[in-house]
Amino acid sequence: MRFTGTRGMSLGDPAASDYESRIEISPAPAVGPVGGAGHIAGPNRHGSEAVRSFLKRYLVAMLVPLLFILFSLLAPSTFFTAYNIQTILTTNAVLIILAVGETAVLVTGEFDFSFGGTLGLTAAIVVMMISNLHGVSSGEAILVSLLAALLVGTLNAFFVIKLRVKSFIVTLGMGTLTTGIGLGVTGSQTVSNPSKFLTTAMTKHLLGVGLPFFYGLVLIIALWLIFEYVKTGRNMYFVGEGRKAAFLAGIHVNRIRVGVFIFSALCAWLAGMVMLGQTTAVDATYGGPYLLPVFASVFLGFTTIRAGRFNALGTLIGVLVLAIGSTGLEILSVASWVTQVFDGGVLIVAVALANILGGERIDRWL
Amino acid sequence: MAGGGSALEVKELEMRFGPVTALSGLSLAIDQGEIHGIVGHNGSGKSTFVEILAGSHVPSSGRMELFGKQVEFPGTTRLRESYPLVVVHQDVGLVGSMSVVDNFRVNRFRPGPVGTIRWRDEHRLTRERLKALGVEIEPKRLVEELSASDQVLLSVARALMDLEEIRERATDKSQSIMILDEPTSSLPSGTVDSFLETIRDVNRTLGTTVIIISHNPREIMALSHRFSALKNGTLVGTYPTGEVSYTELAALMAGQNEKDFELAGTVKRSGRGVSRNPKAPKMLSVSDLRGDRVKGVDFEVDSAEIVGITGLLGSGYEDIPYLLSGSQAKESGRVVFHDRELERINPRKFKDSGAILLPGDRQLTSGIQAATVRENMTMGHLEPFVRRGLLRHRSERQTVGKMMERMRIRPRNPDRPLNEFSGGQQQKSLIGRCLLRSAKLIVIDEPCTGIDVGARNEIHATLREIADSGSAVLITSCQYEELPMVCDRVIVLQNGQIAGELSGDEVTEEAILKLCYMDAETFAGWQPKADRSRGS
Repeated sequence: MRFTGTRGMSLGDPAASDYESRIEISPAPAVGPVGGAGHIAGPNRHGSEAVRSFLKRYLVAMLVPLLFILFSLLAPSTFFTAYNIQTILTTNAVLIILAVGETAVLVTGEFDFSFGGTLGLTAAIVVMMISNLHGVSSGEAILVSLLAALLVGTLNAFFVIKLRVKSFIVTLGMGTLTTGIGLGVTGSQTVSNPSKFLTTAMTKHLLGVGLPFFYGLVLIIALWLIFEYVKTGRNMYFVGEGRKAAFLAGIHVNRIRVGVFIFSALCAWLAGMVMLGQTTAVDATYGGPYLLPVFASVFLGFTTIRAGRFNALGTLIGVLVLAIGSTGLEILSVASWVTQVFDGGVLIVAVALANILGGERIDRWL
Repeated sequence: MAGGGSALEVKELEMRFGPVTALSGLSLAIDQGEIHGIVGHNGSGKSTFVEILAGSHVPSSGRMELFGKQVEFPGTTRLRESYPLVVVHQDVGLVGSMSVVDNFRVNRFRPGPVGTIRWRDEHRLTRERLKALGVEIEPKRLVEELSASDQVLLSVARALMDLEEIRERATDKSQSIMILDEPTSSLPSGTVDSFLETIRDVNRTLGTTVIIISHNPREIMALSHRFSALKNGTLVGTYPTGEVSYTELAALMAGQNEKDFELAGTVKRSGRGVSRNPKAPKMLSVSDLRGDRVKGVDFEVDSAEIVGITGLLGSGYEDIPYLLSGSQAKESGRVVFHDRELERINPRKFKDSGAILLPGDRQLTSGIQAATVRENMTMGHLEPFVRRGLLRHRSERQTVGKMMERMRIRPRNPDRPLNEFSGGQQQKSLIGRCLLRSAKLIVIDEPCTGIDVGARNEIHATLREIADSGSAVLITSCQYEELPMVCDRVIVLQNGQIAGELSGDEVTEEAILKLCYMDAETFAGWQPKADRSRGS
């Protein structure tokens, strides 16, 4: 790389380099591939274009019924039962809730890897406060854990926005840090849930499906509404797609970025409460295994419904694909390690699909 | 001057980018051992010429000779590296996050016995070489920490190292060419002279032929033996520098204006039906605006008026929109808009005050390429489409659809992503954003960069419409030919200060160019007829 065209890597003040690249209005920019994505597909491409655009939107969404039918045929007596469907939905509530938070963060072009730690920490706080401190009610303990989650979200935002550390790094560190504190709080023990309130709230059923699934569903719907029908949602997308343009257009870029980190931490807190209520015992590391399924779901969602955008319904579909796939494989009594192979494989395939269908834009994230 | 004959000769260079011709039959000869200036204003083809020599573009047709031998155009790395030719690019081609020694020795590290780099030797070598150019830089420092002038010197030092390698291989030691593309544009003014001296030394002691591309007449006057003026992709002429006066050179750099100015007629200046009380406060008044490159600028923009601000790149004009809107920090300056002083401004407050800024880069700063036209058009001002907290897509789509109709944006599909439209259609969509919001002040940076003439005329007409409705319109642009078509007044900056202001019939491309290049006195003495050098 000697003195070749290096326009893109000019140095110094970024604003100045913006202008440098404009120096000498040679006609190239008008027709170069950069500005010229505007060649509209000719009529001969209409047919394939339509197929492409359909696939682009619904390929992953179609996996939900396809996988469902596949496993139902393979295991009609165990998979295709109301009980199994109810179980799938109930047990994946935590995943849905975490994925909602992550979707909001990814839309703005950031990452949050800390949800697992936040989940473990908040659950640990509740358990230890109730069991070790006399006279602390469930409500008080839950409130304290909520404050802890708020603190984690605020700290993430502080480091990312104020101190300009990449969210990738900050949240990766924060995830491990909070897990560590969680282990400290519980003395590295698996502790059992003393909160009757949580157990009741998280194990009640509606139509045979645990309530937490409906909490997740409400969050999905809320997120969908925000993205589609609320100004802030549109602005979140702008922040992710063109932070500089959004800033110059007078959008509160940093307010939005702070908001999503806090939102994500709150989702992790809710997921922690759900997990605590649904299981009899927890350990501060219980959030860790969710890292991959959460990202796999959200990226699967990126490829469908509103292909090329992180979107709430897509995320729900992503969760369902993973949930049906892994439950189906378990029911077929394939060894349990297959679930991990499936989750990991799906993530890679999802992102590859997004690349093929969505063009180069996804490169910015991955 | 050493040697004789030509070092570099190009004949009948043709270069087209799609429908646009950048070079049309450029023929040019550069003598061995000389310092040869290449001048011409934007679009003259001088950058394309450098790109061809640097191997980034291969011309559609033409021939090239190096030291009397016909050679292929250097389109591949292998060819490029075999030629006795080094190019120092405008943006110097360094990697900011790496150290000086890394940048200096990239690809040339001499491995030690086990294939490892001998850092001590490399550091010493780098330090020595830079010292020879009169700069003392610690080789371990990161390039991005260096001053602009040190960066330029570093890249010149690297180019000299390349030259040395070439000379080691070459039979005739004086057969080497160094091309400097606007090398001083990022240098602080105090360091230019010593930089030029360095180049002169290289030329004198090594016999290296130097080609320098510059928009600064002083530099060409001070440094070059001869210079060639380019215009519209062809050669106007090659002149011995000693026989040309400063004024003549400035006129040559500015080029002539035989461009069809009938286009200018497409946007009729309104008679400014709005009668104005000269004492009434103006819509926007700016006093003593200062920033990094802007050094005390005062101006006013009235309602129903279109004012253009321009200058050479780096003169500071390009910062004005961002200083006004608060996206770039200003050192000082009072901005009064609509009788209210805009204090501690940021883009958000700027917008809320009833002004709108349209930045200059559709890819990065004004448009969201992946978002739809609808989203782009209503970006930053969704309020009219929100009822009871919810966005009303139908009313938004309708409004945007109407605007697309009005701006003649094809295809008229509000839900198509911006990047599926051509540059002109994209820009019209973004201008539509300004129209949708009936702002009292519209600041547009480079409204017509990289778009076709048709779209440009439409945009000009729209801007005039906006002004006629009583808004103040401020344009910054380096497209000197477009400013006379649309502006009522044009303010030209030089080195961060106002060099002059043109209004009414004075606003011509030629006058703007002269103001860009000349100091005020020279400009005052300038008579169009004195332009003897007009050829072709």
